[in-house]
Amino acid sequence: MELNELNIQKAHQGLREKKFSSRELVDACFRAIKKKEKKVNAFLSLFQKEANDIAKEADKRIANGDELGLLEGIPVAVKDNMLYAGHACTAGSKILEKYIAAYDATVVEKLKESGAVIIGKTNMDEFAMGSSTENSAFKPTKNPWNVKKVPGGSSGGSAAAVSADMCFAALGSDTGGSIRQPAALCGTVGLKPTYGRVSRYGLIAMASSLDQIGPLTKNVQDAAWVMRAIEGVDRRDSTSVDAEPCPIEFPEDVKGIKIGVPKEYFTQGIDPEVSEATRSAIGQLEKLGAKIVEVELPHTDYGLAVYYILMPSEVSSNMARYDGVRYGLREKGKDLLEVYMNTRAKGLGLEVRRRIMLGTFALSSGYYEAYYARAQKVRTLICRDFNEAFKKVDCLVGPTTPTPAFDLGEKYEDPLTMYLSDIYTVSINVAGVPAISVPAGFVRDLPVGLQIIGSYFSEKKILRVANAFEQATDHHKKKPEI
Amino acid sequence: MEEIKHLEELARIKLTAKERELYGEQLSSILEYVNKLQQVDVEGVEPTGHATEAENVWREDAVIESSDEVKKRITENAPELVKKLFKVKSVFEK
Repeated sequence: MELNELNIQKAHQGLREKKFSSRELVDACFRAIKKKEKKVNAFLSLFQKEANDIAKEADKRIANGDELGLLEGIPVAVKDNMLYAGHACTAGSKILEKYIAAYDATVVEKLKESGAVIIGKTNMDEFAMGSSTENSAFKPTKNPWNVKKVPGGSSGGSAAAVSADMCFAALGSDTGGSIRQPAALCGTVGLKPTYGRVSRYGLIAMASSLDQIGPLTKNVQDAAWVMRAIEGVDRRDSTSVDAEPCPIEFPEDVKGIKIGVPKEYFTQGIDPEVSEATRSAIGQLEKLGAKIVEVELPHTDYGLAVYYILMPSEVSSNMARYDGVRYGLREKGKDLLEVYMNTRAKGLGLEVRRRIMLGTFALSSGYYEAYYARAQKVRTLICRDFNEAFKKVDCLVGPTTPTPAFDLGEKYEDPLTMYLSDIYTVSINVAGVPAISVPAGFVRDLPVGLQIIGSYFSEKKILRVANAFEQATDHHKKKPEI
Repeated sequence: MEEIKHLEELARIKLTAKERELYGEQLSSILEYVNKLQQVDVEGVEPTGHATEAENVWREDAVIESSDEVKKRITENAPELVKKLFKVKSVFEK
């Protein structure tokens, strides 16, 4: 086994026992990158020399017997919409092609404090808008399990990099499924924390009431470790919350835990084999001692519609800052208005502009009440559905996606069909609750995920269920041959 | 089509004729899909802006000075700079 194939815990242990050095871990990752990256396109930038220097510092601390951080000397990657001071941060967009981050995002600051070695920034759909990473203005990422398939998105680069063992863990951001969906399609673990658990300071905003940063990792334990490193209240993000920290170890069983299966999650256009794999995973949880009950989330069918009004509305507002004045691309024009119009026409891609137009419409005079205001009310009903369900059960389970990875190009021309691939993930962001996707098996040789959803700040419970399921199965141990 | 042109102005995005046509079709089909929300009874339901109960967070209105390095990086990102000032087209007509 190569060193880059280890998980974080094993690598941490090996570093402590001085079986290998952080520098060797970094080298192993870069060997994998050299071998696979041309086929996968997971990264937008790589920092080999700098990573070597940071690893050397970690090795010094280990040699000195200093107190070690949770991620000391561990090579990780960061999605290219989080600021890493002095490094390019493009968000996958032409408009930020030459943008250099002036300061660190809170999560980057925290990764550094925990001793992690940032080796590169990962590819993504432009401004995190997409479900396939095909909307990157630079290149599409490929699924390591089959390079003709998409890795999912928008954190497709992060999922592919972890899946192909090019790093130990990666950060992603999730607005409607952008961590969980690519994690499921690439066979990794992906956690979207409760809204507010992780600071969004320094995350390039997409839809501010929905965005949340979280980890993509090789197993559940690693996800918990990365969470512990990045979570916490931050005065620079006033929506961040001082919550009880995520546990880094948990009981291995699920005895007595009550798990709800929303009946609505098995009706809408789900691939029969995905449905079967999910049912079998639920059966596994029952065998492990969990109590399975059917529950109702009556407004499930409206989740995607609510999302596709609220998200573009927030997008249209957040994207107003790309005006060619203080940073980013600037195109010429005869007056200021023309400079704006030309800059945004040239710098922003098709999907980003489509969402800005949609959001601008939903917020415009004469339509606001019928669209935005109404969607906010239906959001209340969706939150209520979850609150009612969590009065009866500890967590909910279902499929992460309706199908395994689809072909590159298959849904690119048809936005609505692409949006439907997020059908099981968007309501979780609308309600703000946490959810984790864990490898649940394979359908036609492609990985699929089991989504475990918890109530507000109950990451402890969903991590426990996810971990017990993982320990009882070996889906996460299979690796793509690339 | 008039609607799309109006949105272009509101959104500060210039489209080509071809894009206008494409977006016209696509936005119609997306709106048709989201129109299912009209079926929901929202009588007496309060809107939700943030899912978690957000409260106002107060702090002193104090200046926290950025380092020279950060300031330098910020200005270096400017498309056009005159000394330390961002240069833009005039906002008011002469």
